[in-house]
Amino acid sequence: MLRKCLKYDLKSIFRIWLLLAATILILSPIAGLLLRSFLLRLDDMIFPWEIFLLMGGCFLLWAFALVIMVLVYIRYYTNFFKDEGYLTFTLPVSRSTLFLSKVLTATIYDAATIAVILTSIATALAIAPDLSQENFTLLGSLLTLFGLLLGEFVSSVSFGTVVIIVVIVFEVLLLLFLSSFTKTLFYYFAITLGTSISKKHPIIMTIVLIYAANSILPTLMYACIYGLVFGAGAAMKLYPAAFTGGSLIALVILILLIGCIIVTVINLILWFASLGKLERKLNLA
Amino acid sequence: MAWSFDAHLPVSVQLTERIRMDILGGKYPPGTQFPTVRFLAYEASVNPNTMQKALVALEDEGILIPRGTTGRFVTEDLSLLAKKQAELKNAYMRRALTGAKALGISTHEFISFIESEEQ
Amino acid sequence: MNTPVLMCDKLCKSYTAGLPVLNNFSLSLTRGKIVGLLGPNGCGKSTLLKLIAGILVADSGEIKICGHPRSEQTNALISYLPERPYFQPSMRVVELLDYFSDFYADFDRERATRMLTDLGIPQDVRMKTLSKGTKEKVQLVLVMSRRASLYLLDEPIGGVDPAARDYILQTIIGNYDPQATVMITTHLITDIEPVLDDFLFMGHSGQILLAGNADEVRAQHGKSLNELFREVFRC
Repeated sequence: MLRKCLKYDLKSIFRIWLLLAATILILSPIAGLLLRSFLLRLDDMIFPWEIFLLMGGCFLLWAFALVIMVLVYIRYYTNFFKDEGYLTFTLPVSRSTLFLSKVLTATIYDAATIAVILTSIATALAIAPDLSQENFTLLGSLLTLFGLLLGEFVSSVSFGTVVIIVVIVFEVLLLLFLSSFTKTLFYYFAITLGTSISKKHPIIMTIVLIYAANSILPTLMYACIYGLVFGAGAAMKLYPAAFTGGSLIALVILILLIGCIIVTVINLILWFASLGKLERKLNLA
Repeated sequence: MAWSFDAHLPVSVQLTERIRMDILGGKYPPGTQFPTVRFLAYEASVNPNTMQKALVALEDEGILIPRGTTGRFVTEDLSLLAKKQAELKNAYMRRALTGAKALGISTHEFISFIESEEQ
Repeated sequence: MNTPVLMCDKLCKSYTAGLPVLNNFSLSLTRGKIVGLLGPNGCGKSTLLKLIAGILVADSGEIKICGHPRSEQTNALISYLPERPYFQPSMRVVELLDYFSDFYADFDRERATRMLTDLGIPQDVRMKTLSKGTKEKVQLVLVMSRRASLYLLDEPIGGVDPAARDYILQTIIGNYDPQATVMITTHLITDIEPVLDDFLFMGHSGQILLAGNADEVRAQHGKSLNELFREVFRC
């Protein structure tokens, strides 16, 4: 059943996504040429009109990501809380499956959109020349540089350190992966809560909730970080031995792990809060 | 098109009357297979159980013969059909007479009228 | 099978505190009946249907479908037609057929296709391009093409022209299944009366004021269902 839900959820905005993605990918080589043209005449002091077009291109990339994100959230709202809900919630499918399908749709489109944006940038960089090298494109230079750094690093460091670095990188990636769900779950919860609080103006209520959260959460976060930094500073004074070499590395790994756990807990809280509302308090007009 | 019904007799009774008239009028010849409940209910736009009730009443009268899974058949008993037809005609004429009497039409007036209409 | 196809036990539902739309509502329906749920606006007819379909959650009370407590699984036994269109406007008719085929094992796609052809509705058009009446017909076709145990039709003939009304009533009759029950809410009593087996008059707070067999009303009360309704619900 999840596959069927996903099929229709993904299909619903696929046409628009494809259209925008295709447009961006087609425009990327042009952006590359613009960049090339700009770079090749850097010495000439002529008005850099290419830069404005490139800025427009960057705006397009940002707009693409925003539009897709908004469309996904709109679909969540219309498919669950407007007239379509009469069809959705009378299907022989559990609410958690329906909700999971929506979460995965958001994540899949996030990933796909990022992939398109990165491809677009890479294409542009693959056409633009690296002026400091002969016959090299910007992309080529970047990759070569990265390859060299990696090679030097790997050859000069012990196996044990490489393992530690891999673990830390893995943890950071895990943290980013888990956080990507947090954004979706947070917005879905705001929409769910907004529609249940205000029947007449659910969208306005949702925006109010998002705004409130976005104002309060950063403050909370800064407070936490300040507390952590203060605590770390005090701990460093009291136990200087703990903050050298191996124990420092272990501490970093531990903190990242705790971070992953906290994000998972937050995700679960948001998940069950939304699902609870969908299962018990659904009150379609 | 849905069959129309008046507001005072139960629908099943009106169905029985109408179908009886159809049969006696020759729409369903004697001995032929009679349409199914579902078919007639759909034609008339009525509940199938109501139509079933109407047809069972005709079975009770002997006009329709149920034959198990094969369905219903119109009776081949021509004398019964003739008797029913006569009953219907008499009932109709009785109604006409009662109506005429209520209007004060005398028997003589009525007969003269019929004769003049015939010409 | 003697299990009632629908059993509601002491259902209570309020939208605002203190104003119950349904107050200890109880009902039991057997299979093979076309039942009319009749009453003035706001008496809780739509609310009851929504509770059975799962769109709303009751404050208290029980609902059982074919003996099983109401759940997502029992949704497979229920075919619900709400008052309003519930499909994605950008979906094509054929995509809606795919959708129903995908999610409902009891969806009879051939039957639906046949009915759409009879109505002259092409399959590759988007729903939003259809007129209001055509949209309602498509929705009815989809709902009636399911082989469900319980059909819930909320005001199926309310907003359509008389010809469409006839078509809808004929479709309901033509779809009759002795194993299934159809519950219809409407305020067009005269049109619905010949189609019903049983009827329920529902008053405020979901009180059942009168119930019985539609065909026997004229014999018992000497008036049509419409006239009886006006008498019972006289303001």
